[in-house]
Amino acid sequence: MDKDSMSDILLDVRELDVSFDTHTGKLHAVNKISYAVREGEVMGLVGESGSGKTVSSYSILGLLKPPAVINGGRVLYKGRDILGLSNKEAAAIRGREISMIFQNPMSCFDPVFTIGSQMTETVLANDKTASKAEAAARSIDMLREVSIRNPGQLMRRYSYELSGGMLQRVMIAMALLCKPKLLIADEPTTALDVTIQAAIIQILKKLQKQHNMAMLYITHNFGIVAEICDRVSVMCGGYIVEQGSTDDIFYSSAHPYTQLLMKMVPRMDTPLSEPLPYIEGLPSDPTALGEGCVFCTRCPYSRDICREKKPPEVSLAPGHTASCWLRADNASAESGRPSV
Amino acid sequence: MNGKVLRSDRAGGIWKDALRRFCANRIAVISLAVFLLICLSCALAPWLTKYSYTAINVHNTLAKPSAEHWLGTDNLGRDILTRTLYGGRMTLRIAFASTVTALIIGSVIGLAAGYFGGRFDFLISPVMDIVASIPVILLALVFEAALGWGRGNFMYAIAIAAIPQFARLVHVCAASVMGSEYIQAARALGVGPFGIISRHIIHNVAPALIVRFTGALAESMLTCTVLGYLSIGINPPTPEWGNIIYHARNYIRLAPHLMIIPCAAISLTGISVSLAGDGLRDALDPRGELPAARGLTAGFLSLFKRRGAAN
Repeated sequence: MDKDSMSDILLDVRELDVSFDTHTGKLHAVNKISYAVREGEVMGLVGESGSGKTVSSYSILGLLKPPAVINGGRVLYKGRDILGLSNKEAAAIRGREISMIFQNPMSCFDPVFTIGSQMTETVLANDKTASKAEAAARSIDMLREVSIRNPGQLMRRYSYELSGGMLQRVMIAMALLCKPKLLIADEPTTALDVTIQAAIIQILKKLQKQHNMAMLYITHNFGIVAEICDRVSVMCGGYIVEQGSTDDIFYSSAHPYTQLLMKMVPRMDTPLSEPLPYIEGLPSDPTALGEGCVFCTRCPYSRDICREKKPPEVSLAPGHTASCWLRADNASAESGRPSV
Repeated sequence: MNGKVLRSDRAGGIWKDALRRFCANRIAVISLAVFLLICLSCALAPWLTKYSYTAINVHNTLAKPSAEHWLGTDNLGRDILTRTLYGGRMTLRIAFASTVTALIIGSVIGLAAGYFGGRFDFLISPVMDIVASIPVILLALVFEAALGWGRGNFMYAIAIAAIPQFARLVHVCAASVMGSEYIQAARALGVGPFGIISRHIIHNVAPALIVRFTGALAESMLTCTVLGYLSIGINPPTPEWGNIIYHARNYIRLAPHLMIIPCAAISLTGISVSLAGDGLRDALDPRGELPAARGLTAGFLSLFKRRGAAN
């Protein structure tokens, strides 16, 4: 990471480590990951299912509940550690400073209350001075910003009367009601169909630019990453294996896992008769992580050292790092080893 | 495209929908009306009757119904209508007081267990199981013996006996609401613990709680009359449905109406509360359509309903 850009870092996650105490043993969901999000920047958190993307984002907002245990690390928001905050202190940050939208908009609204009631509730929870009428007016303005045509009428609707795409737009509006500096988007388009996905991403992109808001975008879809992210962190088995700008990741990805993930993106030009590609093997068991690299059991290039020792994080270019022994060799020997 | 084509704009929400469903259920509406009428006439007993419930008239005992005494008189010449109304006043007051107390205490316990979970949950659940296993009559005897006989101390027993069912219900509902994504979303957007409990949990628990309240009310009323009959409850001369029946049993051959009238009052109240409760359940929880899941009384009544052609 550039030295001169350290000042505008909004969220700095350092060595965050989360596990779950299950009856089969300790499940390591997130292993000492570090990443930073700068002001106004969109950071993508990419990885397959179970790689710890969601858990790491939940721990930022303190939404994890037992059996989840945060073993260590710090989450600095504007330089202040927000990991150990009390419920009340955390509530002051949630919504106002950091907000979140979720994967499944259908179940994110309380079916007992109208959309309007829940939106005004959010305003009032974060701004004690606002009157109910002000809160409603702000909600309607915000609904207009997410391209909802008839916001006044929509405020009186219940969540079960609306479609998934509509609800996700409302969710975005609700999350942005109090002008947060950082929005965590946890796979916000996964539950929606493709055309709606495009619309939602356009709205998010527009609002992110408009409000100069930083965003942590969690997804497993590289198409979306290319569309919206400035920088990307690739997660695998609870580790961040590669970090870099979107261009770094797309054009000069260094970790075999990243390269394989990219190859797995379905393409329009492959015949339908061919099976979809996948990465051989199963993700490593998070209750029994070995000594070596988390990807070594599936990596086509794995060697003895990969199974024995954790690979170091190697800087490949300014802002581009990867944790892989292949690169460590390259970096130390500075020789043109076969690029993978 | 603004949605007006597809649906009328009668936005009212689940409570209005529930009211509509309830009103469409004729048996439930009639039951509720009967129950409210009973409550009202018991409450207004001092204004409805010209007699005192203790006024003895030895010249006119065990009288048949007449214009003077609509439902006749008892063995001491007291007006039966008056005593039944005053008795209901006492019984229903005890039933309401103990059930409301149980509702409040049980809900607080259940909310705490559901919201905090974990250790509190482990502590509370067995305690509730223990309380639920104590027979209410035994509990009533203990309270009467410890705090003095005939001062209504058995009410505590009725209230305590009703607490576990409310605590369990609220606990389960609250825990399921707490686990839902909309609570997570609300928390992520800055809604604090108070907002979560006072809005989301309470509003989601309320329908089930209302239904359970009607059931508990009927049970408390019956317990109260049982205790009255066993002379643990309210003592004469203060009338209470249970003790009226107890003292009428000696005259069952001579003047059966002494016993039949308060018994009918108890049955009518119990059945109307239960049927109204069933209607409320159907109205508030449209998912529970299974006939087997419906109340005893409704199941009983369905025996008399005309079956379809297949049967």
